[in-house]
Amino acid sequence: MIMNALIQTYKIIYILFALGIFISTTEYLAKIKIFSSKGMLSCDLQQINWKSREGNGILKQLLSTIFSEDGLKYIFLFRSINIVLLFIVPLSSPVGWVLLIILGLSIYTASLMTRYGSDGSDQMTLLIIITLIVCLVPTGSRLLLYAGIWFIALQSCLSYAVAGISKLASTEWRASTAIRSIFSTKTYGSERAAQFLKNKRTMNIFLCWNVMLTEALFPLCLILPLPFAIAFLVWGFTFHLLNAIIMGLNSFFWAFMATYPAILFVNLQIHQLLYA
Amino acid sequence: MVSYLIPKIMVHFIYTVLIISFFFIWFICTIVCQFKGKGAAFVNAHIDKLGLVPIWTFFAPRPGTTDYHILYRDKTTDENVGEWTEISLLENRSWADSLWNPQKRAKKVLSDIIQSLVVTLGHYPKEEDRNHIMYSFAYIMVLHLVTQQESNIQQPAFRQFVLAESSGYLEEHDPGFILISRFHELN
Repeated sequence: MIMNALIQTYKIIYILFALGIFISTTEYLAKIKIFSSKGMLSCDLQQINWKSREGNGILKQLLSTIFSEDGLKYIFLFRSINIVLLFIVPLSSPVGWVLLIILGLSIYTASLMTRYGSDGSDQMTLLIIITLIVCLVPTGSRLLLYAGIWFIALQSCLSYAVAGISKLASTEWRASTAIRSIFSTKTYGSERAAQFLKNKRTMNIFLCWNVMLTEALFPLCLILPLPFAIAFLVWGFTFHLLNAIIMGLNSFFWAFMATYPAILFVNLQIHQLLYA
Repeated sequence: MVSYLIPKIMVHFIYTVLIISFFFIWFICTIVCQFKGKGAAFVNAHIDKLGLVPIWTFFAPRPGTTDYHILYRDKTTDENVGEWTEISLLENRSWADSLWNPQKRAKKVLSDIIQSLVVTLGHYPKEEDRNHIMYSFAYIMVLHLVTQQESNIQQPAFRQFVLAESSGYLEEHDPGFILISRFHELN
């Protein structure tokens, strides 16, 4: 019974994670030119950062092939197929586990080329795939499955708490000007949202303090009674949805939604232990 | 049978302990790295060799409240200077971008590079030391991007670029320069 619940939780985590990583992969495929020799993330340029650039000729040639525009295009195409296959193959089967490892390797390899341009959603994605690989090992134990879910839930709650606390330490956030100023930029904002917040002092105070306090208190959703925990998760869902719509941060939505089943599982487990 | 099972159980046990320890260390390192101190420097230098420790301070403590712009102009060998041209990287988003937004990557790369340059510039408060920034990776990346652009004059020999910032839609602040490069020779 509990084993089934654990496996189901991992399955939901994978579905949400996979949707996000599939979208992100197709986005990279659409902009594959940024990895070309003329692009911003050209392999020729990135080599400057490789520590052993004077080293092994064969290794250097191999890395240059992998990190070329064509090499990365095949990695992204192969990754897309891999993601789809993992919807069919059971995650905890030997074949599923091998596919997870290949997926993890492709995510990590591409992350080496996107030192500039990666964001918190990429960090969460990497964290989730590594957890899935090490915990869904075919001969794994129930304890290992618990550990993975707890790790994802704790990292997710930590991410919100850190974001909230560092915002509370920020002058712009405490002055309630941060959201209006971010929305005013063409990089992350929207003209409609910026104009809406212009000259609306109370609304700006509400939004900034709402984000700061809810993020800082987010870890409480692990221990609060279920209805309150769900309220936090609904807030998170709305927050990420609005960020995707207004700021274009679509990958954050999927990466963080993928952690919510783990949070819910840990909350239920804590209450079961407390009141059993 | 028993002699076969014992090693198998031991392997499972050791693997489980190792993975739980790995999660524990990863989690502690994540907490340590959120504070930019000696602890974070130690973790980055000695523990986090694979770059797995995340930083969770989204849009804080200093939120990105400006748009960055790159402009360039060319010069011929006989000192004829062309007009400034902006590299277009900022496009208005549509509702569809909340589902699929490929252009966000290029914008984030540029934003990260320029923020890195701004940090590097802070290390050289004296004007005469500013030339050192040309050796930074971020500067080379911008120069690489700029030199890939089409010229708007005949037979360009040199190219100069400017990094600028503006406050976007509400125009609450005047646009400002971050960096004006020297003229670089075009090959």
